[in-house]
Amino acid sequence: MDQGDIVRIAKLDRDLRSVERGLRNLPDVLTRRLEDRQGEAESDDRLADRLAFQDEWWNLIDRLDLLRIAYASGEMAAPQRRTFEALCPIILDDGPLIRDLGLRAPTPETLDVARQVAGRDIVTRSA
Amino acid sequence: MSEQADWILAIVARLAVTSSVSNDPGDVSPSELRRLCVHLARSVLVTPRRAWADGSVAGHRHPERGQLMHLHDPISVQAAKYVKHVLDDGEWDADTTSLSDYLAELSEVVLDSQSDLYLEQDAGHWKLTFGRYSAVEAEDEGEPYTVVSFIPAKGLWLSGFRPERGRSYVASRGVVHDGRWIRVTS
Repeated sequence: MDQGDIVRIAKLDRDLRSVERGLRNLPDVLTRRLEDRQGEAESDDRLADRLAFQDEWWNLIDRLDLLRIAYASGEMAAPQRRTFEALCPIILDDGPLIRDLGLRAPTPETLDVARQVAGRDIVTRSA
Repeated sequence: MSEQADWILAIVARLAVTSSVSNDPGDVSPSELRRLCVHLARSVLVTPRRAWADGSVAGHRHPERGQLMHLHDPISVQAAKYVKHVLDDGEWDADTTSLSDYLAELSEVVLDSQSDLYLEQDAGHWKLTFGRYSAVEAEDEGEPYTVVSFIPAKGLWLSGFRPERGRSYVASRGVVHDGRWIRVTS
């Protein structure tokens, strides 16, 4: 294993953790948004928080798609494959939350892999 | 809104009426653009603004005060973005990048007259995004590309990070409108 392999493995580990945290964080994000909607006009702090999150989420979906490619091409070590597979039901279950928040959905390719891994026939695709 | 907002609004409004042709700042002069960049880098970027610890921040130690942070703890947006993008996502080397290093690099990107500059509407607000490859001599897609975004008229810094897809991230997002490159390096 050369230095390049070590760097790639470390990045995959990091990206898996980052994406998992992002997906698991969505219910809390939705709760905060609903609380904000019940209040008065959106403050500048909340506006900045919302727009920054939207941009960072876009990047998270790109990161998830690169993980999907690494998974499909056999680049992941066995523990990383298991971690990715554990993410698949979460990816599918988060679909309604992603829609409610107006966020970018996972790519169709990612949803297809998630459906196959999770053994689900029905998946909602939304923009 | 601060008394500085009028000139910022005027510059952004004039940038906004430029054509969609790349590298066209319209009738905004280089010195006006420079003034805006200096304001964003030296004032907006570093002015503490309130944020809240989310799932990527909770569990880390505060980069300045050292205490363990919990979900929804108040935190400055600068510290929150540093924890997320440097300590948590590893977009920078966490061992060698301090909070001030992180902010200094973002500031450099904004102040560099060679940085890419993209203008777009997001949620009804004009947003400016600066972008630059970290190594000028190696502008290939493998090099980290740093983006820094603002809502200038509101004096809001949004975030600074290194997108996975480099420069192509900037103009690829479908949630924004009227996007155009004000300045882009070839």
